[in-house]
Amino acid sequence: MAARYWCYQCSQVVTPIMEAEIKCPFCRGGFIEEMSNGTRDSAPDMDSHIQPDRALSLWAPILLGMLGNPRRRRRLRRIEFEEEDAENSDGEARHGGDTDLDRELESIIRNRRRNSASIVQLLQGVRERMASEGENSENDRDRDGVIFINPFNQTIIVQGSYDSNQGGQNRNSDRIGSIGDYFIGPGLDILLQHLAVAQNDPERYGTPPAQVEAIMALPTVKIEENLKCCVCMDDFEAGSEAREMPCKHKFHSGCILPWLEIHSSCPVCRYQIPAVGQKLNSERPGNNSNRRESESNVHGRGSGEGEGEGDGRSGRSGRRFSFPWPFNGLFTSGSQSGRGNSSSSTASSSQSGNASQTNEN
Amino acid sequence: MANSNLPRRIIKETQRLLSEPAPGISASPSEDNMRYFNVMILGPTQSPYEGSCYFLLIVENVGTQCLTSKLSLVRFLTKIYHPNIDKLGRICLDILKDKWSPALQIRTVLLSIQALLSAPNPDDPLSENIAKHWKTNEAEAVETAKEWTRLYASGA
Repeated sequence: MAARYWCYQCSQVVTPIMEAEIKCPFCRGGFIEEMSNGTRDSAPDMDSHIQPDRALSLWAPILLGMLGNPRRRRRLRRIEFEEEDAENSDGEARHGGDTDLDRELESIIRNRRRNSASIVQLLQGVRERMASEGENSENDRDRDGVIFINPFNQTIIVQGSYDSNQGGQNRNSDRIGSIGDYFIGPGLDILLQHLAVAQNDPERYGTPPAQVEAIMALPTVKIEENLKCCVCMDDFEAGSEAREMPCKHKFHSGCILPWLEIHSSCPVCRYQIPAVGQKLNSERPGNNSNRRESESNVHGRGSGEGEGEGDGRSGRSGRRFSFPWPFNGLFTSGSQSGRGNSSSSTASSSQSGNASQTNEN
Repeated sequence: MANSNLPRRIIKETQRLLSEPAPGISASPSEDNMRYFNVMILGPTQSPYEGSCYFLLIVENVGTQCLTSKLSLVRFLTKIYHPNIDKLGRICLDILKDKWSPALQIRTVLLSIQALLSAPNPDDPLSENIAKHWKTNEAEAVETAKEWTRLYASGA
């Protein structure tokens, strides 16, 4: 059989057009690579699985684009071109502008509307596929420099540094894979979430988790007035119970507790209640060193520190470990950290003694 | 599809966004999945972005932690010359990071972004070069921003 080529853009085996440049007959792109038999031994068999992968491999660059690595953005751009191919109006730009950032951006802008729509579509397509778990899990062909997203085992693999023999067409040759890039996730929802998380590295910002004791200390109050829970945006039912922060802002237990498990500030006014690592912290291994100091401080804080981020940060190192690093969820099926149980069990009985102490300050 | 178990809050936010749109901002959920919002922000008057129209994409945080974690993703899809927005459209805005609060909504986030267009903050840059430009020669930087506005963001 003659040389077989893989079009990275179409994610399929193609018989290329051999002109000055080797091109894919479908997308007219040059991002193709001769396949050696060694890398894909059961290739004919696999081809049948390739087609369903297509949408997914299109999706990969978007994910990576979200990760914010400009190199990967190039792949995202390729998707736009692919869309554009439907109209086949922009073949030249594809070849001329490969390394030209401005062209890239231009095309993004030109496509911006369709773009957002199609990104959304892609997102959905992928999620759908992810949802329908399939039979075959052996699609992770061992090619280099490729991003695989496998609908069947819900795996995304980014591999780096393939040997390019595509010359100028090969924009990614030396640059993929700078993050090591293995994502294995239970579902795209979580993946998406965590990619976005990775982008902003968010939960490392902001206030540290509230102390369990401080959470327990929040009094439960009865709502009489007309009031809305600012987290869920629902009105409180008259006579229903709510947890009251020291700043007097009230929330449904189920709304405020998950937040306090990861941050210690009031959602409305940022009033900060005692945070992990700031003081008393009996439940966390590894934070014991802070303990004595914290105990002595325990009544001295909790007010006048609405923006007390500085304090929170100083206690960070301890909390980092107990905190779900963004990608952990990918491997543990989206579990939150172990904190959940301890604090949610405290939802009902409040130790108002502590609470009033906090209030006094 | 994914709309079936959409958190109530997203529904509420959506209703509010549609029924009482903020001035200069339109946000509508994608038809297929209401977690995705297509957003259009008009460049604020008296800013270098006046008369322009910027598209953003928001993916509301997915999963059960939707309400306790920040919006997953807010990103400019339109090219913009702004010290706090990088060429990938990412936005450097405190409420999207350490100042996030579950009491914030898409609406408030968008208003903040609109305000950021009015008041670029080169002291907390995302695009170093643009910020530098802004600090060393603001007039020129503003000109560039206007130029980009004209080139990339004019007309809807």
